[in-house]
Amino acid sequence: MTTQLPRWLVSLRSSVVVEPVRNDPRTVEHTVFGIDLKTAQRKVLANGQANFDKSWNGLSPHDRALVYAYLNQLGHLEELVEAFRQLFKDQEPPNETILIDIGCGPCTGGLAFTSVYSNTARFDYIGVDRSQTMRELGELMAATATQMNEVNRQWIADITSAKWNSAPGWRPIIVVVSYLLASPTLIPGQLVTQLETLLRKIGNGPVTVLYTNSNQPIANLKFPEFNDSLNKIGFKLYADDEGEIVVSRRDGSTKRNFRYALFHRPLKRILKLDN
Amino acid sequence: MKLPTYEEISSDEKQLEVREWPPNESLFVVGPPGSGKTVLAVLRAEMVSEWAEEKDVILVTYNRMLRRLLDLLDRSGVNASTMHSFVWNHYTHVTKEDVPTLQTNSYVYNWKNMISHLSQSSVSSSLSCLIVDEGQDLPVDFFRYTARFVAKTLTVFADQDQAIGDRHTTLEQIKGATGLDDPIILQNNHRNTPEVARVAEHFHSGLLPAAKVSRNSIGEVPRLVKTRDIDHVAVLVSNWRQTRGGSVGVIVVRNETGIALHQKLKDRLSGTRVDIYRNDDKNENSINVLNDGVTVLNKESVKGQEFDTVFILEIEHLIPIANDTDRRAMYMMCSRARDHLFLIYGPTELTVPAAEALPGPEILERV
Ligand SMILES: C[S@@+](CC[C@H](N)C(=O)[O-])C[C@H]1O[C@@H](n2cnc3c(N)ncnc32)[C@H](O)[C@@H]1O
Repeated sequence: MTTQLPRWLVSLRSSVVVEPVRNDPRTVEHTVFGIDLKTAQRKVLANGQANFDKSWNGLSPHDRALVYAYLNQLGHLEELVEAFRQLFKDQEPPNETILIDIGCGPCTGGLAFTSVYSNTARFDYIGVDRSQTMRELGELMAATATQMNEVNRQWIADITSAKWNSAPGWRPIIVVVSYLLASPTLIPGQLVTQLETLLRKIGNGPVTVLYTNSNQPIANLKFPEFNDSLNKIGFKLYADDEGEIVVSRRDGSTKRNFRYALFHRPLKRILKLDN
Repeated sequence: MKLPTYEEISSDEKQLEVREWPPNESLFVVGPPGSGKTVLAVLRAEMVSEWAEEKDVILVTYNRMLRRLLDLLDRSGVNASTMHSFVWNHYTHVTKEDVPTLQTNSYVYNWKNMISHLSQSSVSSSLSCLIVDEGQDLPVDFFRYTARFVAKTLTVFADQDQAIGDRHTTLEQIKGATGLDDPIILQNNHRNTPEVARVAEHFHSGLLPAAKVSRNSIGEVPRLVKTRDIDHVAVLVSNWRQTRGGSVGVIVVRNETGIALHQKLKDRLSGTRVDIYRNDDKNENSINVLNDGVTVLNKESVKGQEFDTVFILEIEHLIPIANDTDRRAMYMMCSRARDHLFLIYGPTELTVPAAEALPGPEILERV
């Protein structure tokens, strides 16, 4: 079956990303902002690992982030939407869920998660991205989506700067790590340690981690360390595979192959006392 | 792509509920205010006594809570006792001797002597099950004593985060003295409205996560009220009681305030129960704070109690918060209120740091 984005998300992308790129005077046929697609992938996006806060040959940081959203975000959204649909089947996510989207880019995990709610989504969103330009584009997309009106959002450059003032409780947490692990600046063990500090502040609730990535081996070199680190803090691996979804494009249906994994840690009912 | 459903992964490794715990196994439970520890202790006692071969199950608590326990136990046939009389009965029964007390204080048992005396005679546990409520308020030696000489299995309920003052037993100490496994945490708050819970949680600290509030909102936000003088407070409280009814707890910091207010409330509320309840008086068993009416108490006496409405007076003496003990006390006091909570100060203004120590106006309404 073809994975389709909900209609609101298609029109959101169209008004915030697709139209601004297509209507830009620099964009001529087979280019984004006048740059051919190969160069755009390699140089403008550096295969997703660019410093989006820097301008590039006349492209502003915002332009670069738009190129990313225009060329790459759609497929990532489709994968995550499919993942959340399978995870929640015909149900809504639990009340008071907190979504931590690490390396969120333009709110990709947040938008995909919103699409599993039948009406207005209600969750807390923590978007983590080292690029301010990405965070701004993410907020622009979230603010334009009326489905996200009731979503509390915070945008931060790294996990350690998350603001969490409520007393620790039992709220369920979902962590999205989509196309982040190929980042050269990323140390999985450190990321997991920082994440765990935040999880503890939020409380003892159940935590689910959804990992997606390109199926290129090189993009997943850091996966074993990521897996080990999560394992050490009590996560169990529930899925770890390469998979495909069918998506529709202008020239018909096509397959998208990618790598995914799912981890879960149940809520902590036992109080560990040191003796 | 093929993922399991959220339901599948989260129902995995489901842990036993307290109510499902096998009756012949020991159990250690911790829970924040309102998580229903005392009710669960009673249910556990009833369940264990249902299955025990001989009906020898005893529920033990500290002095002030006995009244509440007995009310809950009602006709269940389970015996309840204070720690003091329980130990006295046990020790004199097995040794045929008096309980040794400290030379310096004849109310305090000399546990060391008792334990060494019993270890020489060959006394072993004979009771099927001892259930302890409010374990954090009982001395650690009591746990050593019971684990060795009294009961084959133990069930302990405790919450060290609610301990006020420094005289309490830690969860680690209870574990060490009894050999119980790490405790199960209770997750739900059945007592407070979400609005009351939010104010209490503002003062949250300690080991246990704040509980999930299971009650629905009744649409009333706790309030911060400035008063002119004690007569004004008496008017506020008596008007509230006359128009809303229910049980009302008035918590005071200074005993003089309590005594003066008690008199004024009695004058204004004839026909209503108006009591004063102090931990230094031994009147704790003569009044029933669970009944409708007004109870004036100080912060040391309010522990373990709950009321429909709580007024906390003289909060200028409680904030800004100086240390963890004070924070715990605020948490504990606020969480006594089931439906309505008022924080009262005046006539002097709150200092800036004091005002900043309170939750914002969306959580604590200013009037
Ligand atoms: C390939 S994009 C993926 C964006 C989004 N998750 C998606 O799937 O569409 C990678 C994002 O991670 C961010 N990033 C890279 N390394 C990071 C790090 N160490 N900490 C936080 N963000 C990082 C980048 O700025 C970029 O926006």
